[in-house]
Amino acid sequence: MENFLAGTLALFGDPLSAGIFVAALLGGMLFGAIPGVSMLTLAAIALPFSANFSPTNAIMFFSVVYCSGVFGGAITAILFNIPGAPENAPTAFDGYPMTQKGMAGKAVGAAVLCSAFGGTCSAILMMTATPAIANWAISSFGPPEIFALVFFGLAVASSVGSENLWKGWLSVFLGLMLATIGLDPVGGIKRYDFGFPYLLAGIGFVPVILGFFAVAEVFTQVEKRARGMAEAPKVNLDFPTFIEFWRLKIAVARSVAIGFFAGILPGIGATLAAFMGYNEAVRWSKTPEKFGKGELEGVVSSETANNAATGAAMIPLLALGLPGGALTAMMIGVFQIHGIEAGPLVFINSNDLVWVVFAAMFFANIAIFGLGWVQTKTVVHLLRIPFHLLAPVILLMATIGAYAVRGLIIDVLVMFVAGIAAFFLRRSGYSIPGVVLGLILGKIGEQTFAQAMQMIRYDFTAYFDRPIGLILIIAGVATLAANIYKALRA
Amino acid sequence: MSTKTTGAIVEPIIWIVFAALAYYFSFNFEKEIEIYRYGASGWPRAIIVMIVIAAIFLFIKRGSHSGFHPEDKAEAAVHPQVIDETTADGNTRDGAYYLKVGATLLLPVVYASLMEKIGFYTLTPFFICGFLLLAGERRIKVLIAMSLGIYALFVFIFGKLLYINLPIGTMRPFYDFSNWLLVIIR
Repeated sequence: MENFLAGTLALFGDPLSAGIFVAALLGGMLFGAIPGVSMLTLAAIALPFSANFSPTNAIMFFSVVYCSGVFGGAITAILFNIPGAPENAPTAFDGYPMTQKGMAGKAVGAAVLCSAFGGTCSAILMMTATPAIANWAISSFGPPEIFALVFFGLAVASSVGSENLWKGWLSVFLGLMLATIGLDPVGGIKRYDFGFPYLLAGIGFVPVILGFFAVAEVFTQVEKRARGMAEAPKVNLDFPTFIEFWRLKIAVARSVAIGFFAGILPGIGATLAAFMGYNEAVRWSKTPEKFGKGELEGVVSSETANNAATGAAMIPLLALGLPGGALTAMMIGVFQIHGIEAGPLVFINSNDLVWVVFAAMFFANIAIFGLGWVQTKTVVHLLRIPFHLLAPVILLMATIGAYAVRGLIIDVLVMFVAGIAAFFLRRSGYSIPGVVLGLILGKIGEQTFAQAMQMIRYDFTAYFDRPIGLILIIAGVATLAANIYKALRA
Repeated sequence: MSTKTTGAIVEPIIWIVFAALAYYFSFNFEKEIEIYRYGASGWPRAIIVMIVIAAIFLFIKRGSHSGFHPEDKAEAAVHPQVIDETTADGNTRDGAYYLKVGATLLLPVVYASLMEKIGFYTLTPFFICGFLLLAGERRIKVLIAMSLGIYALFVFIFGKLLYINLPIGTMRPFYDFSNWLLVIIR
């Protein structure tokens, strides 16, 4: 507690630190909400300038950008089906259908509250147990366990948003096949590149996600207008009530746990946390068929989990010097710029820095609640603009978002082709969330499967000696069996 | 044969053809990796096998009740994402409908294809105008005002404030125009 108070005093006692905190908070929210120019763009722009900051202010800036950036992307995901970042994609699954039903205020309000709550819980856990949790997670979770986690995630994914189980599986398999394009993760052998150098790096995730969500939605709305069946979304500023939240307490607690846990694991991060949080909400729900059609629990689960991952991601970074994702990897660079080595010694040599960062992340999550509330009351009014005027704006934002990541026009083309594919897949009852999940988990899944097989020498019975992996595999098989049984009986 | 019945047969066939092609192309990278028993083709082929199995089940389940329209309608009611075949006034889709939807899908692809040569700054106002037309806007003044307004807003935000480098084109005079515009706004 003394450390926390000292960190808070250092943060707000110095006008420069407080100014950097506010700039990072607003910048992260703004950049997080614009597709393509994500919090990573802001971090990359700020990286050279951070050399002029003190080490404490530099690391604090990046950690606050991380918290507010993960939240920022939820707003456009809910209002326009444009996830600001991959970790906000599952928020769009139910957030956008809620907007279409005239419940945008509820969805954005839930995202604000849950992002703040998930992030704050994560910050508190981070402050209380960083070294112990980091050591346990890193020693207990090897590639076999991460593969088991991916398998479990895929088993659940098949039941989200498709017409039937078989279409759900085909959607997931399509995503898995797309993830195989490029170099194989073990030998670096070219796969399905058809001679195009562009495909060697694999299908760009950002263009595909923008195509699947934003572009496909515009096409669908124009098609509805062509049939004379389009309806303008109703603008509603109702926040979720306390009772509605209280009903979702278990989903929130579960997502905090999932997000925090996923955030600790190197290479997993907020994106997988959001998907896992959403999947678990579907799996435990008594009415899983409502997900993907505007279920508040879907928004709550995804947004709680992705923000809960932010504090957790700092644990391996600070305690072990292991980055969990792109932004935490940049923070390693910031440490190096200032001649500090991230790892256990940080707690001894730079204790002040650590507690200013912890305090800043805690207050950033609290501030998200206040700022997010103001944002909700203002941004939702954008829905009053007629869709035919909004459509080109959405397409242009998506175009710039797809192009800005790598500066390649082919990414824009890929985005529009993905949009056309998603338009037809949606019409035929396939699950876009399933394809996206397959694409994300495919790369992690194949890599960890290969590493796991080499570790356990291709002996699957070795899972019996790894209880965490075994439990996840059994849970995945049980989910699969239950879904197949239900599908065959239907 | 109803559209639903056709879909019940065509969809599994498309998946199986897709799987067959993916399997065929997997021979291009069927190479041994010394440290990994399953090689580069093991993982994709496992997915291909699962696609075929799921496609067969899709065929069996859909085929078993194809043609029963009451059930199809019940299914459509439960799953509203399966699009109805009729328009609001009860007519089936006509040529104008297909032309409009086709143009909507094609316009962004044409836009992206031309961007390399013509550039973002020259092409975008025409794209906005074209899309507004397809989306149903017919008032000329609104078309012009909206196209220029949205264009100016994007150029200001991304070109001036955020300093994002967007394609300027490779062909004259489009390349010169983009550079001139960037000099003016920056």
